[in-house]
Parts: sequence; structure tokens; C-alpha cells
Amino acid sequence: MMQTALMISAALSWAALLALGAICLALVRQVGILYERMMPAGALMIDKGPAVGAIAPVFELGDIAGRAVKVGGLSNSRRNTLVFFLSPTCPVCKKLLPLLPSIQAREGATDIVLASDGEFEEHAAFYRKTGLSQYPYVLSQELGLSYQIGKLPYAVLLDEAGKVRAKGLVNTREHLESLFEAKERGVASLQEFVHGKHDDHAHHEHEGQVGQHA
Amino acid sequence: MIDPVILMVCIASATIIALASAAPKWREPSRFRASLEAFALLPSFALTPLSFAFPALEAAGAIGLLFADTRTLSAMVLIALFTLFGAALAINVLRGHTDIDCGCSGFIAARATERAPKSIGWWHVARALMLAALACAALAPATARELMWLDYSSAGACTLFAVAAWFTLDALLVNLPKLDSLRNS
Repeated sequence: MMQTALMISAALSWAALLALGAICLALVRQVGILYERMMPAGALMIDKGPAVGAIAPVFELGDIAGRAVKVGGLSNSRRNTLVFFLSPTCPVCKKLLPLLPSIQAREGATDIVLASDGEFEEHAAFYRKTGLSQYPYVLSQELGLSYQIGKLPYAVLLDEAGKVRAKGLVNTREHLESLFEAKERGVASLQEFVHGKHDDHAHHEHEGQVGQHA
Repeated sequence: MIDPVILMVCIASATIIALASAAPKWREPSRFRASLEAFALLPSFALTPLSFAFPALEAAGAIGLLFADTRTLSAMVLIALFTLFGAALAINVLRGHTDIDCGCSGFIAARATERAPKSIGWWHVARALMLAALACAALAPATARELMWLDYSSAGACTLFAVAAWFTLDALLVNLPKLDSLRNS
């Protein structure tokens, strides 16, 4: 009796194991398709303002809370600076602001400066509401003009030597992280990197075909 | 002739799955009615009565399956329902009328928002036929043998597994059109 029960139990276990294997395959396939269709796009770079690799203009500004803020130039503490251009009326900015602390923690050695221009009172109220008092908030039309900011939210990543390392229109966390990724990989933008990689790939394929023909 | 443990698993999982897919139809009759209408197979005067009759039959069949006296009749009802449903899906797939809500994915689809993309395909037909086959298995006579504690624990665990696996497949099926819409966006 026990033997039959054990046999049935083992048979059911095997059936369950096979079903699980099939489900795993289906799941992995869906995840694979998801990766393929949601490839990182990177921040959209707009060809205006200081080019990537150029020395950024140096600004000595005062923020809303009266702190002195230096944007650009050599960093004594060897830290990067992420300048985040925003506006209190831009909904995407509000979505991205809460992500800044975790991005800073992840990337390390990065100062974040929030930048905008306009009415002091409006921005001061917005700054209080965001609860991001650890980041200086500067109001400077010159800063925006020098980077030729047309659309928001826009971010510029400066390295410790004061060079522009990446910049672009940022709409998601992935876009913001793509700026750091571009800096690490030493490319002007992730878009260029992905594009360049594809070109290389095509080139190699072409060579391979030539080799086959020869 | 199948082993009584396997029979128990088939009956229990068929009951649970049929009840789980009848529940959202009870909760939102208008939505099920819209699904029936989208199938474009029934005259409009039959839609409202049938949108109540189908879930009622499904639930009654599921519960009837549990009792030996009503098992045969209930299994017949469920087989008829699922085969009918599979045929209706197949006709629409053949017509190329695939961008409709199949109204079948139990509580997983009930949670999905109205805006989520929906479609039907051969997988949905296969799903309906698998349910019919599961109900068929309930009709098979069981071999006579004495059951012991291990049999009951096997049956219980396997039923839980079967139901979980079924709902996982349902979730995968609900995700398919969403993946497709990512490609088109």
C-alpha cells in the first residue's frame, strides 16, 4: 500500500517538476522579450551649449538659502557635480526629484545642484515643499543661458576637473543614470554608445562575410 | 481507470479554477456581457440572460463536481461550457478578430485596468480545451485501492501546485498582449 502511495506521489512530483520547468521557460522568454523591447535609451542630448568634453563655464552663485554654490571649475574635494535644471511647473521634474538622493548614494562623490530661474518666492515655496534642502537651489538666468536650456528637466554632469562629461533631457531614472554611465564609459552620450556599438557590430559582420567569400 | 489520488487532484483543481473564473463574472456582469458581445456570435437579445447563465452554470458545475452523485452531470456541463467557449474563441481567431477581451483570465484579468491591451489567440483556445480535458478526467473511474495519509497529502499538495501553475500560466497569457503593445508603441 505504502509503495503505491509513494509511486503516485513521485509521479505527481515529476509531473509538477516538468510543469514548473515549462513555466520557467515561458517566464524567461517573456523577461527576455521585455529586455529587448525596453533597452536603455539614454538621455536625449541637445546639441547646444558647451560640448561634452569642453571646460564648463564657472559660476559663483548664491542659492535660495543663502549658501555659496560653485558650479563648474576645479573641484577641491574631487567631486562630480550634477546640475539639474527644473521648474516648479514641470510635472516630470517633480517625478524625478525624489529619485535624486538614491542616485547620489549610488553614484557616490557627486554634488547635486538644482537650478532654475524666475520669481524668488515661487521657487522658495517649491524648494520647501520638495524637502530637498540638502541640495543647493540656485536661481540664475546666466547658468541656464550658458547651457542653452530649452526643455526641462535637463541635467548636466560635470567632472572633478570642471569638464562637461554628459548632458541631456532627462525624463526617467534611466535617463539620469545614463549620464553617469556615459561618463564611466567615456562616451559623450549613451545614445552614441549604443549607436556606435551597433555600427561596430555591423562592420564586423561585414568583415566576416568578406572573409567567408575569400 | 485512473488512480484515486490523480482523480482527487483533477476534481479539486477543476473546481477551484472554475470557481475562480466564475467569480469575476459574478462581480462584474456588465464586463462579461461586453466580452460576450465582442465575440460577435450571439444575437443581442440573448446577451444579457446568457451573461448570467454562463457564470451560474460554471459555478454550479464546479460545486457539483465535488459530490459523487452530481459529478457526472456537472462534468458534462463543464465540458460543454469549456468546449463551447474554446470553439467561440477559435472562430474569432480564425476570423482574425483577435483584439478582444476573452473574459476568461479569472481574477488576474479582473485586476487589470481597462486600458491594458487585450487580445486572444490560439493559446486561449488551448487553455479552454485544457480546462475541458481536466473536467473530462473527472469522469474517469478510479481504481479501487485503500488510501493512506500520504495519498491525501500528495493530493492536497498537488492540487495547490496545479492551481498555482494554472494562475501563473494565466498571468503569462495576460502579459502577452502587453509585450506586443510595447513593440508597437
